[in-house]
Amino acid sequence: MNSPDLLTAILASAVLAALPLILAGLGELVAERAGMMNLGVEGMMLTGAAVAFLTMVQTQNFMLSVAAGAGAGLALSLVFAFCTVTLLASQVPTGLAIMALGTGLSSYIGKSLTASNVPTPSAFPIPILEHVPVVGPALFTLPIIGYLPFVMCGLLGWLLFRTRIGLLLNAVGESPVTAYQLGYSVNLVKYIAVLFGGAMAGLAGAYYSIGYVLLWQDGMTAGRGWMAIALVLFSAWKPLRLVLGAILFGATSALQFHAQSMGMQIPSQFLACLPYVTTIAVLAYIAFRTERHSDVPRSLGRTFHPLLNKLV
Amino acid sequence: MNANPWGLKLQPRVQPSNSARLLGPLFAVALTTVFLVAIVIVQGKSAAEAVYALIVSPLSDLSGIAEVLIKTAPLCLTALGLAFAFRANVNNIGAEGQLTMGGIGAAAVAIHVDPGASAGWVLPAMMVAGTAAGMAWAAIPALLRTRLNVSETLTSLMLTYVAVQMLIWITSGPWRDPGGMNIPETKLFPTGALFPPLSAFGWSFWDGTRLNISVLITLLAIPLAWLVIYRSYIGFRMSVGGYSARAASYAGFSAKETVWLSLLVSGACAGLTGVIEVAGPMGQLQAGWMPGYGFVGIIACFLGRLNPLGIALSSVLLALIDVGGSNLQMQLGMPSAMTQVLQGLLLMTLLSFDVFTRYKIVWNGAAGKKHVAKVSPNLETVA
Amino acid sequence: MPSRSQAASSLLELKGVGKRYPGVVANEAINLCVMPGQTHAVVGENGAGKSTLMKIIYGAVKPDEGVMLWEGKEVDFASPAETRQRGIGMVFQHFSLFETITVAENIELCLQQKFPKGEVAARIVTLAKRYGMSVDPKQRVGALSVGERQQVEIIRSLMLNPRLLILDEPTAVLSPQAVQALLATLRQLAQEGKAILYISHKLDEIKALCDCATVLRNGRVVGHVEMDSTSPNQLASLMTGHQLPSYTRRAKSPGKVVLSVKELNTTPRHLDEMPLQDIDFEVCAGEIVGIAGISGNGQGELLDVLSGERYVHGSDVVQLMGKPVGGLSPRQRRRHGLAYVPEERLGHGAVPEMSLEDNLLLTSNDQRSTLPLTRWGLIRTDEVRNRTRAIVNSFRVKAAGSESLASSLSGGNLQKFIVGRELAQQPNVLVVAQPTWGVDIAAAMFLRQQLLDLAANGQGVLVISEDLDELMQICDRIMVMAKGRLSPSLLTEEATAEQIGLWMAGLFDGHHDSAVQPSTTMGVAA
Repeated sequence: MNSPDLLTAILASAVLAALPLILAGLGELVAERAGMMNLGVEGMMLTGAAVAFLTMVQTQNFMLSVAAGAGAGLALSLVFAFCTVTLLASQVPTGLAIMALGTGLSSYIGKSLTASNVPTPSAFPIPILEHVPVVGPALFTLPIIGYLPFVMCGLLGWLLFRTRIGLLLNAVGESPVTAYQLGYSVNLVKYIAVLFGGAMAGLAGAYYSIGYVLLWQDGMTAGRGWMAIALVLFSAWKPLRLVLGAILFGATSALQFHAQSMGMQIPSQFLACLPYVTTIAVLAYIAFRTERHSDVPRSLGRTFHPLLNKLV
Repeated sequence: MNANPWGLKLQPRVQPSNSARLLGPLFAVALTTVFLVAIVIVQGKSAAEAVYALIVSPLSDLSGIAEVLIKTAPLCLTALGLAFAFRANVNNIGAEGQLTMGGIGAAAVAIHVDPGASAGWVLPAMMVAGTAAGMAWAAIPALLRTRLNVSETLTSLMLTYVAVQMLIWITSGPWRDPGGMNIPETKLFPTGALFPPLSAFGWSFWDGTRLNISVLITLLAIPLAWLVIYRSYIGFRMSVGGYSARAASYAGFSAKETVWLSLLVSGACAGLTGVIEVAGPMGQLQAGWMPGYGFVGIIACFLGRLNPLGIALSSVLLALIDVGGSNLQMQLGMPSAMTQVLQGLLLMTLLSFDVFTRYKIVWNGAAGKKHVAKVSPNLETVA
Repeated sequence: MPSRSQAASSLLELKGVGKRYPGVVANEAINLCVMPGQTHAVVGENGAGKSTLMKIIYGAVKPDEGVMLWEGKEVDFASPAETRQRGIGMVFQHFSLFETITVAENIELCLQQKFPKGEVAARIVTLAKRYGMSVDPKQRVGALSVGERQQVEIIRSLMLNPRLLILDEPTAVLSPQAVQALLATLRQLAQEGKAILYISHKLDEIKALCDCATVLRNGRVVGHVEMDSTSPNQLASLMTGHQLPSYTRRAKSPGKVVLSVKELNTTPRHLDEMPLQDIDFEVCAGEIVGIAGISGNGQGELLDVLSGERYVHGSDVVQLMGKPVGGLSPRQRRRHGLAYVPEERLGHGAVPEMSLEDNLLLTSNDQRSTLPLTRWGLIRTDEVRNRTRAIVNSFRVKAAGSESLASSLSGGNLQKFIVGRELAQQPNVLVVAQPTWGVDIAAAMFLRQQLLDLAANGQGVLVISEDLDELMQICDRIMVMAKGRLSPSLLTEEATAEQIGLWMAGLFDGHHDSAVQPSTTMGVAA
């Protein structure tokens, strides 16, 4: 393989691997901007993957399956929202419980799916743009669902920074006490943000199982939900940075596939470690650049008690 | 604003309710059972059979009880270590990785020992190696947090995946059993590198089961953990750090000490658990080894409300469900993943019920301008 | 009380309003009547129930009993949004502003209607000019000073053209000059026909501004007076139920230096931190030294340095009894005789979720002289319990028991416990921040007397407080902290409010502070 082709191939792999990370990451980004830290992303992704795969096997309808996956993620996040926003439970253990629940549910549903397979989704190349050298084949020949993450990024970028809804979301994340004092329904905003996060996580899982891997494996997301959470930190809660970070992460997965063609003789397990080590390195890097502290939604992870009108 | 269609309202309590704290776990068990029954019925099976298979049949004979205990002890040990961390607000999600490294550390000793060599020092050496390996693996997130202020939640978890890859590599490559038909696992450990059964101490009651003396480790750990958490000054310092970093700083309690200690202790417990697993029921190191105690331990920890006695009880319950889950599969054809679902549900329902420790439900009789809210008896007029 | 015909034309009227929280009666049987165009004060000491009442009027809190009439007609205790529509604006005591967004964005969040982007900013500028304020719509609120933030609050409430404006303790955080500017703005509003409900415990301001006053004590109305016919002293006795507090002081000549700070300079570690410049002062045995100034001028940073929660280079920057302690931890400093009562009770000075006994252990295990509270690493629970009970008794702390949680105590009682805990360590130096903030009158008097007794006993006390009256009452010497710098010290007898006010603006050391805002028309840098 000559260099431009290799580069394109790596980029293509990176983008494909990045897509679920972007979806789940953008969802968590919105939730965190409202002050809600949902550690259950991995569980929601896995359940979304399982439900989508099951639906696909039974209906062969791609769009329906994707919607089903998103719905599964949404349902789990509804449980999270209910426990943390209405019942005022602590966000960290609740998120972990959702992760356990989601992982369990996906294994449960997935038991019957191991022998099944699903058709490859058809590519939907964008004319003209697909012929751009190097970048074209990587970015513009995706299946139709593959463009969703980028569309979502643009949409969120506009929503978060240019509209009143975004202003309110950020305000709630900074100080729910103040927002409540001003008369806004803080709980409603948090619910919507969390549900959006859940739907996106489910969507990411759905894409992963019926748009990418095309087989069922128990625990197939292998920590990608957690990487999405790390990505949100890396992105300083800004959608465009999240996309770029996800592609970087995707590249580490891509290296696994292309290592041999690049002439690297490294045991496959070492390469498999790359995404995780990269995550740690990236986290260390952001923490090192301390001014990021000012970007953190100030009430992140803390429970808002409306009746006491304070944060715990 | 607080418009509630059912006329029910939450009202803050002055002091947390002790009765709610005690009722919580019971409520969690009850509600989870309801969910189980619902799932079973939806699948067209008998609810009574399911509950029997899950809860009763594991305990119906000695070997069943032993199996539950075999799973309880390592779970409890891991969870006790994690309690240290979570009480100090240090989220060690990577205990599974520390456990894996503990197993690898123990195996490092075990496979390099002559099968016929005198057994006395081998097992203790394995325990030391495994515990140290677990601590070392936990030291990485500790270092990152204290030096660079990186959240240990994500780093410890990422390291778990790394540890799993290391396990696969080491059992497929360097330590693969040469006489073993290319399966990624080490050779079987010599007897000297395994925990002897309880009859070694003269307790032949458990003969024929897989229970070994490693249960004693957990039995010792429970009161020790209780003592350190509730009665020691260091436990106090770490709890303060968990409640309020600012108050801890005011008191002069070192945040770094808290982070290091909690991660090292939980890493050590997880590592030791890894040793118990590989030098116990497994007797070797396998690529696919993932007992899950590192994750279920988190559930046991919170289910037990970060209290050693509570953790012990929850560990029994969770282990019971685990063993029962395989029964469900064998007898009713339901996937054993039901265990994980139930474990997640238990934690979820407990956390949901906890709201009642801080609030009570109040009936909003006439939703309108004039109504008197219930107040607690000791009114204190604002002076 | 207004007659029937007057009542018919009242703007806002409350009848029989009551509100209870768990363990506390905030308001009971409140009757209030505000006429159109009237400047009406609601007066009372800390904890009298003023804030709760205002939140009820504004709709942020629902009362348990009572009726509200607006323009003579009975209305619902609505949400804040509806109350704003009705024509009531409120300027909160603790500002309802989001720090990470701009002034214009903050104000936008308050408006129900959607204005096109530029229009909000334009209206802000117009309103600001009209009332003598200077506010830049595009500035991030986090970068504004306290006085400027209050101006944003006022403009925000004026945006909807309210008929009644409620201000909750507006001058608590202002320098004397800024107070005058505010009063001028309010007079202008009153002249335009707006009614003002002014909540305060500052009697001279009320006398200067208001037409009448309703006095609250212990959650109840104890009187309604016309300001022309009432003196501040009369108001004071209505408020407190007895004469103005007086304290027993013993004249004592200061002894040797117990605490000294030399050439303290810090660099800010994050965005909203104030750098300290050339801080230099001493506290001697037997004296009470006060540092006045509005929060946010470096007090927090100074306190962190003194307590040991923040390290600085140079171990003799801070010295206790002549020994350099700059590199020592808080626990080590306690062993050297320092005790510290932080500004924030819950979350800093005490852990809310822990019992009083545990909170005792928080700082008391470092005592030099008495028996330690731990042995072989284990806590001696009996000893801890005994000590806790001793403090609860001697400081008359109202608590259910030594095991009760810190969060269950009222502000005054918790503060008494914390101060008692620190005094029980028999320190050489006591540093205390905002000692009576949010504390009821009886406890406040008790605590101030404790500080005086401590000094009389030969210990040194450093009090950092926003409450100038308090400092004037108990301190021997006063300094002012402004923008990270410390003024020279002044004997209390020789200090005047004007002088202090000037120093609060940073105008000391004989040259003008370059940080004074040139654009403020009233010469205020608050």
